[in-house]
Amino acid sequence: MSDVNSTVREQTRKVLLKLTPQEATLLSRVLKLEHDFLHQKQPRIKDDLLRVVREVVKDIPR
Amino acid sequence: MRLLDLSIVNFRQFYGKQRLEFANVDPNRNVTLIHGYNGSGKTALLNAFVWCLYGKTTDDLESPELLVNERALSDAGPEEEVPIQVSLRFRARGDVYLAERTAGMPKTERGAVQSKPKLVLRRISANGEAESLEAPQLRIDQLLPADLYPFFFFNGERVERLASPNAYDEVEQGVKTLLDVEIYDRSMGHLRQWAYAELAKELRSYGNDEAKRVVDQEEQQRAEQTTLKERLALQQRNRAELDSEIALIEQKQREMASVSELVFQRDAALARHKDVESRIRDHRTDAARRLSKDGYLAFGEHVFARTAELVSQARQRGELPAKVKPQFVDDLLSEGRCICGRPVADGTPEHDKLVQWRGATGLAALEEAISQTNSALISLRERRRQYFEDIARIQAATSESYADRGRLADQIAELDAKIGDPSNSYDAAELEQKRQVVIRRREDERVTIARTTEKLEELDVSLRALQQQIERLKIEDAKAALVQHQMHVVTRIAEAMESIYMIQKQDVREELAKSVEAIWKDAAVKDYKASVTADFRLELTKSVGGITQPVHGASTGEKQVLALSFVGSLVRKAKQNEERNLEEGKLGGKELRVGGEYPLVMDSPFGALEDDYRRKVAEWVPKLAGQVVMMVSKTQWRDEVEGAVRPRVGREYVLELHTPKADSDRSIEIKGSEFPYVRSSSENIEQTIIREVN
Repeated sequence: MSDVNSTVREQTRKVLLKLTPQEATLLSRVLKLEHDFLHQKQPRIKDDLLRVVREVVKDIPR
Repeated sequence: MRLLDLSIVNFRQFYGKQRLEFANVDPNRNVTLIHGYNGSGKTALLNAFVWCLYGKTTDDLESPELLVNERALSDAGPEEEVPIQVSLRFRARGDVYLAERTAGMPKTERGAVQSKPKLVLRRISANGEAESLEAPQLRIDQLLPADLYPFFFFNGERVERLASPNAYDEVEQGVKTLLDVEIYDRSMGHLRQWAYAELAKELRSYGNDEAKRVVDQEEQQRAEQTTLKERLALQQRNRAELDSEIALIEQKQREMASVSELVFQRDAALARHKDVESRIRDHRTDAARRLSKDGYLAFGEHVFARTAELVSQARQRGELPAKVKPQFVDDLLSEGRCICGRPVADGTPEHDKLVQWRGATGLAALEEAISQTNSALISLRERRRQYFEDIARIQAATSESYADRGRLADQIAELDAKIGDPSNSYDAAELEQKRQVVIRRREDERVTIARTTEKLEELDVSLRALQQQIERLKIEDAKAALVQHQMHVVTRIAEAMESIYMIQKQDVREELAKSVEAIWKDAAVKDYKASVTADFRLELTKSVGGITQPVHGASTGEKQVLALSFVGSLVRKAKQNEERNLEEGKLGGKELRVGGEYPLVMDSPFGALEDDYRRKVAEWVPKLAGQVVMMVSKTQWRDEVEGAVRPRVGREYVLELHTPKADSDRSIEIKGSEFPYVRSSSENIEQTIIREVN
């Protein structure tokens, strides 16, 4: 693995570490959803996206 | 995607059913080589891949509406439908697939119309069972998006198109999609455009009047932002088209003997002008950096002078330097002994005197502070002097650059006038007139782009402020409060996606730029430098008198090598990403990346290249891509290519062309043996038979 890759991974990890567990879960779910529709120019995933947001963010953390 | 085999039935030159298997096992013998005479069906074969996977054909295929083989059509009875079929078996992401596209051509007297092609995609299990998949086109697009096939299935004689200004968007999109950056871009866009907007609507319906007001305002500005972004994209496309138009005019002028010398002089002046512009930007950055670091010192002289004056006054009053250090008196008191050795008992007049002295030693601490301030004053004054000196130097350099820019602008205007002088050449003058019109239009477009960008920046600031207002809204209703929190989370992850997108995009561009530069350097004869610019342009530059300037009028061959080095770098990077994915998948981060292995299917990859370039391209293409299919004519398969590719060939075929023309027999020598290449046939129709070279 090159140093460049390590740097990019490290920078990306830094961004991800700033997220709360709830936010990290949502980010992961959104990416998975987008990945499945990456081939479509105009995917109709608005409803799916909202469903994912509501499923993951069900309450306000105290 | 790894290609396994291709079967074709009655497709263009190929009569009946014919089949090819591709080299796909040994990574050191990853080339499938296909020899073919002109017109034997190399381009048709390339199109068989494209048609099978996407139902499309490439621009260079003549009469794309007639895919049927002429002999098959001739053999058919009246009204009989001749089947046309291409089947491609390939492995992708661990599964084996069989894509089959079928159409039919009825034989009628009035001229036939091909039936609508039908695609079937099957997944083949390890025990050979085939499962037909729903939405086959979508599945194929998931494996290799239709927009991107020109990067993998292409005619080498036309690949230079990727190095043209019109291809910037295509190149950027290809890079983003193949190298996993696209997913972040799309995710953040969809989160903001859809998820956030829908939640905002919901908040509006639950929230109080204040919430409704802020949400309405936010929604209105978001709509405005969408419109402006679309407008900006259009304006940028317009500018790219104008750039191409100007480049084309200038190229025509370079080719006109009467003005070519003047045009080259102007090219050099324009490059110097661009260099000066870049210097001016650097000077501005230097000045801003210097100002930001030490600018406050410019206003410090009064404070420094007053501090120095106070110190001087304290000295004159005898307060400085302090005569006794506090620690010294403290030690005497603690030991109860004078410096002369006599005891100093508590309550004696000597002890009281010492305690009195101790009170006065506070001045020593002041002295220390003043001493530190004094040394800081010296350093600050030196920095202030240095600051003014630096600013003066930067200003002088900036003025000089402005003067240079003015001189160069005059020189360019003078050269424009000479080139546009009808007494030199009427045609050149007419072209110059046209060029000036396009340049003015481009200037107008640049101004428009700058305005739209400014508006978008302002809108961005305003939208962020509104989002913060929404987050701070005091909402009693529990449902509304949850929606408010969901909006906050969506904003946070959209921002995270944006950060990751920027990190990845920058990394991908830099890595590609390095790879393209290295490949070009290895292949090129001329001392040009190849790069991928920040806006994803493939560019050739050269150094003239220490100034980097774009190469004007690069040859088709040079552009082809540049484009090929880009495609090769892209394929290699995508493959590296996939390897990285496998590693990260083990660590649980699989969904964050896609990547993949892609084959290169190249028709005439050495089209317009000189021998040196041919050899180099032939050497590095099989190393960059995991699998290569090369279709070459006899003249393209020359010594330097054969020497480089031969050790990498895993499978080899000849497209044996059968022609009704008498005495057309030709053969091709492969590995020391002669193989039929063109055959005179008694049948009145041309056709091609695929023969494997064993």
